[in-house]
Amino acid sequence: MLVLNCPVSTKLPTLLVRYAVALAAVLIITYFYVHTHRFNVTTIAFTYLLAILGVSTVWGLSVSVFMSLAATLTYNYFFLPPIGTLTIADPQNWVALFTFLATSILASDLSSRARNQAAEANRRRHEVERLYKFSQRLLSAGNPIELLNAIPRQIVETFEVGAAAIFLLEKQKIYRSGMNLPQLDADFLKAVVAREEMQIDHEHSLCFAPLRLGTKILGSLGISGPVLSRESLEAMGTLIAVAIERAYATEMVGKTEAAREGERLKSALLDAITHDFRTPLTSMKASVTSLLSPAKLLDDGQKSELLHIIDEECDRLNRLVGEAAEMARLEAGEVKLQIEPVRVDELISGALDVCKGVLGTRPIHVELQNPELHVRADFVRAQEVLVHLIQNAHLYSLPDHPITISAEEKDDFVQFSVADRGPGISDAEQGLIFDKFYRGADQRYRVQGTGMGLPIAKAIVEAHGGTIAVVSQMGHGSVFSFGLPIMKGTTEHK
Amino acid sequence: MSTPTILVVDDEPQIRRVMRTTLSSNGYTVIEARSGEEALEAIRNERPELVLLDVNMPGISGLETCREIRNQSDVAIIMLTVRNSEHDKVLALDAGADDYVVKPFGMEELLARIRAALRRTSSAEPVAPFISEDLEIDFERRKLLVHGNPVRLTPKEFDLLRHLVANQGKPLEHRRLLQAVWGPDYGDETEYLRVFINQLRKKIEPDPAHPKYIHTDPWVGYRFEPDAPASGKPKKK
Repeated sequence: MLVLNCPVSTKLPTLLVRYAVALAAVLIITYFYVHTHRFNVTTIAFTYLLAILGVSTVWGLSVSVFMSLAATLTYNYFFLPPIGTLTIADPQNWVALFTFLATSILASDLSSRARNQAAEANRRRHEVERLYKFSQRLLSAGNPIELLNAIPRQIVETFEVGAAAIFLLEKQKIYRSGMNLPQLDADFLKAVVAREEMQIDHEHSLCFAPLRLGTKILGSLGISGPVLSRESLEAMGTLIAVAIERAYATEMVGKTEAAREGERLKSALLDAITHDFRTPLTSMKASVTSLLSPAKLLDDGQKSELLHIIDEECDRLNRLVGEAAEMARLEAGEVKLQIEPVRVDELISGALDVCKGVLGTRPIHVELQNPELHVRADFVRAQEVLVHLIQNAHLYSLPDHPITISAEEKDDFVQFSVADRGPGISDAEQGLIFDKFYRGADQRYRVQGTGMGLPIAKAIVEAHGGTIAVVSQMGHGSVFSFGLPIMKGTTEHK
Repeated sequence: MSTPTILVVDDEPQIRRVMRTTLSSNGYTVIEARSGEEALEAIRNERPELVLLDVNMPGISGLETCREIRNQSDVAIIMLTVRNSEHDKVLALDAGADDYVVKPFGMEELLARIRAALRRTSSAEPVAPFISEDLEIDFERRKLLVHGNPVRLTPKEFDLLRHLVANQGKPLEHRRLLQAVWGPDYGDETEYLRVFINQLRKKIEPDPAHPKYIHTDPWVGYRFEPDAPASGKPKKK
């Protein structure tokens, strides 16, 4: 069976050139043998055959069939007796002529088939490669919205087509690669979903395919530009459907996880509030009831001790309420930052002024290479963070150990650090200390904190767009550092 | 008689300060521990008469500490906690505590509970030893043998058993039992009885699910009466 097909991609002028070259080859061979007279007809026939095979291997069947016919005519006219006519005297030569024609066409067909198969294999390999690349891109996308917006653009980039659009049934929404092409109309896309089958329009170079996952149709896909194979379209439809489902599933898992985490935090928070608020209340209640006791067993020293405890615990409770309220305001985003250019050296000296009373005679080192550095920050809040870190360093380390405060430029931030030589924080705890109400397990005996200082500091730093972190080594101390956005080219502001 | 020693176990320094001041003004000797580990060591070394134990502590928890203390000592234990649910009370009593006080508490209440926990009924009229085929209780020497093996009871468990045996065959109302064993301030804490009776049954009954010594009289209370070996049914008086 002969398969007469030429590659779709070959353009008409190229084809004409090929026919011309084939004809020229036949004429050259004919001319050569007509003028040499020294070869028998078999040799001449084989020479034609060789040329035809060569052409069919390179350019396919149609050119080689044309060449075979031309060669048959010239062979008959110039070499088979009676020479110079298209008639054949010897019946044997009829057989020779037809054998020649049949052989050349069959050989052409075989070599052209081999060539087509190679081309087909190549095309498929290319398609599979593109599908693979496409699937990789789809899987690397993040949340469903990003994914849906990215898919049409990725189709265009990966499959080198003109434009692409996908229609999502659930959202009744169309996502496009670029501008709205009238050919990729919403009605067409919806019609494909309704029909649940592929549609390829060679005339207008349009393909439509459903996005199918098993028996479920999620939407449809429309492509304008070079027509893709059915297999490619089908695979694309499935890939896109899988990617969309996966993105939604991942998002769902994330939401459930977040909700669960939120619940867990809430109950931990309630527990912590119960404990942290009841603890000072317990000391106060026990002291007061003891003072009120009719038994009058307390001496003056004991009475004064209990009154002092009540006083201190009132302050502690007040601090707790204040910090809890501040935390809640920060979390709710109710705190408006008064952003202004702030000199780093003023920030540090301001914080040290606040801490003066607490620090006593403790040695403080300030390392500041460029005092001209400015940050964009809310002076009061930023100072609060620094004060808290300095007080923390003070509380958690021996009184004669120095605290080092430094600030340096790092990318678009000024990185502030407060380093102490305290006992350090274990790796496990480093992850927890910025959580609300958490207090270092071993430190709770000695240090009175409310456990909200670091979470507040974290909330303030994050409101500025920076981050806060701790680096610590057991037995050697801890370094808390945070970044505030740098203000470039400002020297004259406060 | 020397002043009783009380061990205050709490990670909060302010609470320890209040306790030290108030309890010593009430004539108790006070020692302190900041954690379960320190408490266990203090109990070994200083042998306090009573432990005030905070439930909520870093490191080993209050409940865990309580169980550990019970493994090595009969000391009276009162647990202090911020949670006030029935479930938490039962957990504390199950862990071996004699009593349970919810924070914040009035000092008078705590002192009353301390007195109750330290109270021993041993000074009351003597009760004759109880001896059966598998059980031997000597109230004078506070000794209990089950199948010939010595079994340890906490002072409150012992007092409860003593009161039940002293009134053998009579159903004892919850309120009466509570007041006799814990003190006059008690009466409604039926969960205490439930937990302690369970613990007693676990220690003396061959099959705690089908008691042959300590019987429950529904809506009334508890009754100590050995089953007749043959009938297997409690005799009604």
